[in-house]
Amino acid sequence: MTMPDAGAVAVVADDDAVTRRMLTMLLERQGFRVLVAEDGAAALSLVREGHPAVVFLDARMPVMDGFEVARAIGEELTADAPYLIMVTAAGQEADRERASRAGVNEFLTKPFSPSRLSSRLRELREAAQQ
Amino acid sequence: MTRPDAVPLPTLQLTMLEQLRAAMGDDSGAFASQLVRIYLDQAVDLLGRLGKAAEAADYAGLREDAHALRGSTEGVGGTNLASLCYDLELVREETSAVEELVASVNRVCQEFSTLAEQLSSYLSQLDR
Repeated sequence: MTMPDAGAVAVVADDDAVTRRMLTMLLERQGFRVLVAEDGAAALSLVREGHPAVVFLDARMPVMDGFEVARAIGEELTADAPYLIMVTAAGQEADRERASRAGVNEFLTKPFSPSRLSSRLRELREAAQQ
Repeated sequence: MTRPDAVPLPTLQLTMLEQLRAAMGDDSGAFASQLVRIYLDQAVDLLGRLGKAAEAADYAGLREDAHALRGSTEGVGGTNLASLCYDLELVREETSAVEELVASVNRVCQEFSTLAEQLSSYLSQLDR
């Protein structure tokens, strides 16, 4: 799945307010309109309604965790599926295989570098525009 | 991972906040300031919960809140506090008495106070 042009929608789902705000800042800087959720169920609702191009999912969230949300997105949105990026804490790398099976495209390990993430978002957006 | 005799990590590493400012073109420090304020508010809540969990010998709750505090603390560069939180994530009923939990949480609170001071000092310098 390719990343969107500027002005496209991103969903950020994380129960940590600091992570939510940092991701939102960086995404908005790249021109995304950002929808924010604090738990997995709210995230899934936003994905259904907002038609995002990219979704950041915390692996561990209340109500529904990131894996459950990723699986549900894969089952419900076979066409126009968003690009899924799972946010994991250091020491949870074993979750990657499980996440890949759930349809996650990419991983972001905390603490993540704002510089590197900005660059990555730019790369993905440029690739989509080619 | 416990490091009983290890040298403490720096309280605050500015890399995260400086990278955020660079990525956001944040000359005035407004974005960094906003993020730090969100962190401080959330951390105070989590510290309260940690204290109650320790006193109630709620090991699972303590581990969960320590994990939450670690994640957000790493986001603002609080390396030593994040390390202390990680130690709390590893406590088990079989190996840690309640008194040790309370002592560990007190250390976390003390380190948070130091971190909060350094974050405030950093933001003050940005305001000049």
